[in-house]
Amino acid sequence: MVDVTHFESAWRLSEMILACAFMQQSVEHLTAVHKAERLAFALRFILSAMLLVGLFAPYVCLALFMLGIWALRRFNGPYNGGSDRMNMLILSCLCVMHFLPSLRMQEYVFGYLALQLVLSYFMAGKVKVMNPEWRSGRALQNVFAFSAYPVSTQLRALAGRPRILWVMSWAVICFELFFPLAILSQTTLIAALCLAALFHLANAVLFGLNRFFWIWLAAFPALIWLQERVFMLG
Amino acid sequence: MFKLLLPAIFPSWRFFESVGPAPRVEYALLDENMADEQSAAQDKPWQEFYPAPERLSFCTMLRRLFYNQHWNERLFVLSCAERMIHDPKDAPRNGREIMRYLKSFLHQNAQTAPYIQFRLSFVSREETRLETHILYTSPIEALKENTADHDG
Repeated sequence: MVDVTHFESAWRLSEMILACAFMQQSVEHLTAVHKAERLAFALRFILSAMLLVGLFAPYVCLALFMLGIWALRRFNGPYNGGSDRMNMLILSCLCVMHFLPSLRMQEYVFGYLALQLVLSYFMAGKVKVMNPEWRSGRALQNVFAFSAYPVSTQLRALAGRPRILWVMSWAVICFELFFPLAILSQTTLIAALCLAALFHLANAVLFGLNRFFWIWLAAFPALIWLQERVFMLG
Repeated sequence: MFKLLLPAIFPSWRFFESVGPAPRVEYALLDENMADEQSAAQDKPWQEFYPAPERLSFCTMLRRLFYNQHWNERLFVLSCAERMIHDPKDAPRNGREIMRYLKSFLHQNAQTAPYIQFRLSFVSREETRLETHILYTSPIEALKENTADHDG
């Protein structure tokens, strides 16, 4: 059993989950329109498999980072919105950590990743609660009524259930806004992360945002470690 | 490069801040007669590119957790559509990208029409009803042109 509160273990677990997420993403590009894209993502799959087993991790991270830059240029920005941003954030942090000379500096970078994970929920909640359309449930109604995300026409019928959507809106807003409080204890943090995973799973099932589910999991070990580091060890 | 990389290192995380007009990409397969530029847009056989299916089983939804290539391609093409409208400077590049995905999709589906055209429509809520506005219609192109292995 991996002790995620231990720095080295949490770092390694993040790397392994990141590798799995990258492999999942890469497979989706192996039949892409462009030959260069197919080749780049085949290479990314191989590098990710090497990262998964811990082979030449520092240099593999660096190579994956270069491929990430190539992809940003190839697609003129992120291919898959926020999930690509999280890809690059986690990869950049893990990559930099390999080349830092001291444990303390590595901890700062891993802590930065944990902080960004907390912000990813809190900021999303903050912008929603400030928007009257979200507070009234109208925004989520619009998501189901005409946005590009619902995975089937049948799901659009939910737009006609305003009470359910109002409850769902406030559930999402409250979860996102109060997520930072979860770090006060390990129990509440584990519970909040389980809830977060369920939230991403729901987004994957309802809106087809499968990449968000896998990539956000890769940042969880950083927060579990930080919580222990800050609140238990002082 | 930094313009592309910085939002990843210092993200803003403002997911779904508001739900704006939602893009749709529609294409029309044209024969020699309809390829005439004077041909009226409403007479063309427009169909949605990558329409969402009527219904999906829960098993399919779960399977897509592991492999969701077409849906993610669809989301990328729709983000190109948004970029075309929001950033006119980059519109030609995004237009070419959309056309490439369309042609690849149609080649895979063994379409034999000689010409293709696409248009971007945006759906939004006006008071209580949904309205669709067509904001861009592409030039007509030959479908046979091979662009699959050309990165632009």
